[in-house]
Amino acid sequence: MRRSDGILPAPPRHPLLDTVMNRLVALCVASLLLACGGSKPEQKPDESPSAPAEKAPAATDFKAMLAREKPAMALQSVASTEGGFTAAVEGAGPPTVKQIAPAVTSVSVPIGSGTPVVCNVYAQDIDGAGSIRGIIHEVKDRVEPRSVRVVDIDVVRTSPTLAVEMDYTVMQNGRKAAGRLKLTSWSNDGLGVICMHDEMGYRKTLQRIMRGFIETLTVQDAPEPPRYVEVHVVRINGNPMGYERVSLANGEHGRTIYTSTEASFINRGGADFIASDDLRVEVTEADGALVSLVAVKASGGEVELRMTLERVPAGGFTYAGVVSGKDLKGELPLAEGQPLSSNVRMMRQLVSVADGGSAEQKASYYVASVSPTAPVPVTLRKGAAPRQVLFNLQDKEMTMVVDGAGLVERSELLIGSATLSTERIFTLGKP
Amino acid sequence: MIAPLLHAALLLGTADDAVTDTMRPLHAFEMLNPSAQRLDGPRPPRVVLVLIPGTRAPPEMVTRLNVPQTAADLLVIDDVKLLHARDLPLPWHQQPSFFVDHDEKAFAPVAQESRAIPATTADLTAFIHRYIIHKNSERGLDPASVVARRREGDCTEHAVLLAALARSRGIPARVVFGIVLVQREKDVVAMGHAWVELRTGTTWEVGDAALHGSPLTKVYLPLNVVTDEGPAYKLAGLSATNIKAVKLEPR
Repeated sequence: MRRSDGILPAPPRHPLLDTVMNRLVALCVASLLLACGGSKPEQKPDESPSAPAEKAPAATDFKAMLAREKPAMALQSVASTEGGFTAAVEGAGPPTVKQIAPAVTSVSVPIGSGTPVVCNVYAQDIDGAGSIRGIIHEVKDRVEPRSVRVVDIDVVRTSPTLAVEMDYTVMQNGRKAAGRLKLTSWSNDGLGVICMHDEMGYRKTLQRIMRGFIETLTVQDAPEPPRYVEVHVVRINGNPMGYERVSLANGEHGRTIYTSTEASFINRGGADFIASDDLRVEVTEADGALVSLVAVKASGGEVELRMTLERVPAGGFTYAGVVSGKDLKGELPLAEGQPLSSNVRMMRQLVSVADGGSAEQKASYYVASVSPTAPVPVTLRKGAAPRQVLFNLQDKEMTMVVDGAGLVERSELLIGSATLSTERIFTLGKP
Repeated sequence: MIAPLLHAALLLGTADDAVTDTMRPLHAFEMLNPSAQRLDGPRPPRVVLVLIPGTRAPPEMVTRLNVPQTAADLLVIDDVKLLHARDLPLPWHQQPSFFVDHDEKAFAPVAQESRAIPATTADLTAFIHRYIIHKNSERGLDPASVVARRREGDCTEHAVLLAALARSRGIPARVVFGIVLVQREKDVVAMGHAWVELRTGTTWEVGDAALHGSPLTKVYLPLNVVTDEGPAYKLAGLSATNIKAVKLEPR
């Protein structure tokens, strides 16, 4: 088998942007691969005056191809008037910047290999997993995907990156060729970036270029940063499959705004995968009492769930929203003497149990994707290890280790023969 | 902070449709002795389920095998025939619900296209297998109306659409989460799975639209019937995941 010269481009199409809360973007990024991979079956390496393209290894030497990397290259300036940002990007030559859709700017930078690195910048947040799914779906009609997997989760500028690779085969000039499409997504406070490279090897090069690009991004009207941020990586059997970013920000009247953004990208074998994004925003009083909650879930390129809880003056909560296309509205049933636990209140309960102040605590916890019209009863018990808490929901027991503020450092859950786990990999500020 | 593992568990808690030579590892339960016994032999083996310590026995095992819910770490099934459902159908087995929502407009094309299909388990199962075009695991656990619209999914989507079709014909039907044991050429694999129990006559029959047409010998181990078909129906998927490993022993 020979190597692919890149995936042929798709016809241009506008991205489908879901504007739910201006955050969750169920997007199909359609034409983004226009600059990703070659448009000709026999594409020549990109040409740059500063770094001549290297000679490709022998056609069948996949191991050597996969090991290829580029040393650090000169920084190139990037400025987008339409996108409203400036940045610097590493490259072997000047980048090409163009607006490919409303609020989407494409930055294509040669690296002296067969294809350039392409970074698309969105003027709003994007779904970490759904955005990558959209691109894979766009190209998979033209190639035969062989495997799709998460290869890395990291943190750049307080937000996680999700790196996914798709190995594929494609017919070129009557012969089957192999290729690898590398995609990494990142999103933070009104800005989203997806960087792509359609060529075997250069994995670390792509990550380095993307990191440098995001770290130098200067955006007009950037929002005020939250007072605390943490990022968790979610693993299955030790392999990364997603992340959660939690932020705590100051709201009006001394309230706290708790925001959780999750992305899950699970390989189900070969090229079969499931991509899902969740957003949860809670507004709580200073004592942790919940005022309101919004939960949104997107999967398979569409918003699957959108629920809102609102505190009512007489006490209790109303729920309203749409799940699988069905309207739901009503009063949230609450157990007597068991108030609904916000995540901020849950932090206090976790601390109390972890410190040994109480052997067991019961709580009502709302998980819209599991039970959109009623909270789920949970039990917290002290575990055997220091600062360990056993969190029980529906006969499933999660083992957690919490810090002094009640934030989860790591957790574990057994599901069948699989072990799911989370590990906190980043914190900034004070909760 | 708490939800990610639950979300991930929901994505994993259900099962796989592709029983081929290339099994999908995430839904394969650990088989302790995959080549020791054959399912298609003259005397089917005894099945031993190894539970995750501290968890309860799955509801359908409790009901059908008459074992205590607080079982030991092992659950022994001497004869898999004991797992056949013997209960009588209830009114909800024929009614639309949030999950099995054949009363939704999106279901109409399914009813329309299947009009001429005979009301037998085999025929309805084959129809649903054909109707769902995109065989993949991209969907978590959709209600029937969404499956009817997207025509996409794995075993859970095949199951709920089959249940909806059966009920729309007045046939009692219910969705079951469990494990399917599959005899491959040289070994047995255990996969998380979902199927339907239908009652076209006087007994419940298994309708497995996802694996329709597979010539391999299969044994179905029901763990949980979805009884709460309201908006919290996904909780049923969580409770079907207490099995850690499977072992086969000679009888």
